[in-house]
Amino acid sequence: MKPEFINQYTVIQPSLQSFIVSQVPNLSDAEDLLQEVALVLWNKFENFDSEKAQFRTWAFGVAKYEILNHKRKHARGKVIFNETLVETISAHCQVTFEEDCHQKDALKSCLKEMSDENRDILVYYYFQKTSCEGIAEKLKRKLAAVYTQLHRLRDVLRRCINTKTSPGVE
Amino acid sequence: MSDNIPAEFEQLCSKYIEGTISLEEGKQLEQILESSEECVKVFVQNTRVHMNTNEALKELIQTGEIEVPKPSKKKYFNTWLAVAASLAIAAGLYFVTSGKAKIAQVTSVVEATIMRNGKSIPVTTDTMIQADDEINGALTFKYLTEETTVELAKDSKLILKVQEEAQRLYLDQGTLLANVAKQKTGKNLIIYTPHAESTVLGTILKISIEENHTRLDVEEGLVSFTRKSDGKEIKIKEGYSTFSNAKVLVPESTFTADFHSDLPLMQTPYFSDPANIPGRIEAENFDLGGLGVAYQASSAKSKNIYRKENIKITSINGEGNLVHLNKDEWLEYTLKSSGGDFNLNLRTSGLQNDIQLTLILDGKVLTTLSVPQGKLQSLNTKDLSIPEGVHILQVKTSDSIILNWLEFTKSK
Repeated sequence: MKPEFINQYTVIQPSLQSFIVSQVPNLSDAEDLLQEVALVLWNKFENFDSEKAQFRTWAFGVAKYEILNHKRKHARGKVIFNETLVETISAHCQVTFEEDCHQKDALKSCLKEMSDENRDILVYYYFQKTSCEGIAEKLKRKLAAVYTQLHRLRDVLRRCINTKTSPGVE
Repeated sequence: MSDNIPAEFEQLCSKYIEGTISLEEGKQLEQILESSEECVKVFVQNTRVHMNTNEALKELIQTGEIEVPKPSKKKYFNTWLAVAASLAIAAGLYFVTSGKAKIAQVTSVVEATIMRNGKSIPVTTDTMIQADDEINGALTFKYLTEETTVELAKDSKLILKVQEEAQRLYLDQGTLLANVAKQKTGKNLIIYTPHAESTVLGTILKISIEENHTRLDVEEGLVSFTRKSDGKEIKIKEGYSTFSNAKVLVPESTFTADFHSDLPLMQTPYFSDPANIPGRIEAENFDLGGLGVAYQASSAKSKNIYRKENIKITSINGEGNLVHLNKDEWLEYTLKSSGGDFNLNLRTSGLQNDIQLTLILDGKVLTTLSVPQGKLQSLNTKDLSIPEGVHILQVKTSDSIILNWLEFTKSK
């Protein structure tokens, strides 16, 4: 093992994962991509010059390249944002290891506080892997309403996490 | 919704996350994000919520803090399940009283026992596995707090341990195939054999103890392999193997396509109960049990979102999951019939005209249909006699087709 690599990778992993999911929201694909990026970083770590670049910048550069490759390979229907926007998004994805842990704990707490009816929709979608169409069928709702509902539930959770992790800030 | 965030942002974000956004809508989302820093912030935070919600729900469900919504489906019991349930209850009572944390759950068994505190425990599907349990035999289990699954071939001997919150597996004999989920940072799964230790970041690998040596095959990802005799370490990436008794420890291209072949597993329905007919069977919900047992695949492994098996599954807006089946490949479904004659409606499409799709019930041809080329369409056939009870339905094709679902309705 390369302890130096592990140490540096550990620090940036939450941000990197957040960035990859922001570009490739399919969680299974994102997980595979994160592993691929880790593998590339691992293999190229010997050539990485810490005096010329920060590990984070280098890792995000590699991730951007791998994401683009992935999107080109699976281009049909995949949205590719322009470079400037990708830069802006990547800047917003910076999260420390601790923030990541706190946010995950807060998320669990927010999920527990949610009404059963709302949480069930998230359980169908995330835990039972039911598509939005499946949920619409199950709940006898319009597909567009399910999309909106899912967004609103994520938004409720986002606000709840923000309240718990940064009291006073929404 | 804030004044700075356009109303259409909600649906666009959701469609983006769901993967059903069109290129035009993607452009619209891009414009919104470019015009508002607040939207980017919300977008990133929501994708983080999306990223973490599955894991959070899983943990809450496993710890019993929240409940899964109850399915309305009528429960099916047969003698085997009743016996299994009794055994599971008996085993469960034992586990509850024995005090150690449950770390995994058996998902299928061929033949196995668990040694716990010097006593042999009966093993059934759903049996909970604790730290320090010794498994002897062939079974599959899944960790409770992550997606990692481990299959053990016949005559395997494995001890599970948890050290500093990290999973450790000690394989003393036999063959282990692991599909390892992404591990928590610094908590990598390590698999020990008498000859080597393998540190796994998140990957699919197989470790076999052969005559006086350990063999490692990596199907996906990266594994660090350290030989005990001299402490030599090597990284093995996907498609490569290594042997602990090699003169020089190197990655070898001996990885073979029959990676899964020595792990025969018991065939079980994809959900705990057989699919009821009359009713619809989604093609992607073929049985569990693995290659040659529940399905046959001739092509190389495809990455799927829905299933890990070597069958290609894609998803399309408006249709859901579609199974891609090639020449001589088949899928099997355990179903429970209410008895009588049924009409079959089958949603499928062929890559060329007149592909023969054969349905085989308990080894006998039930019907053969000619699948037309082109868009997905419904094929109908009438009056198929399916006696009351549990059956195995095999779906086999003469050439490449896409299969969405099969629906049986009662003949009038």
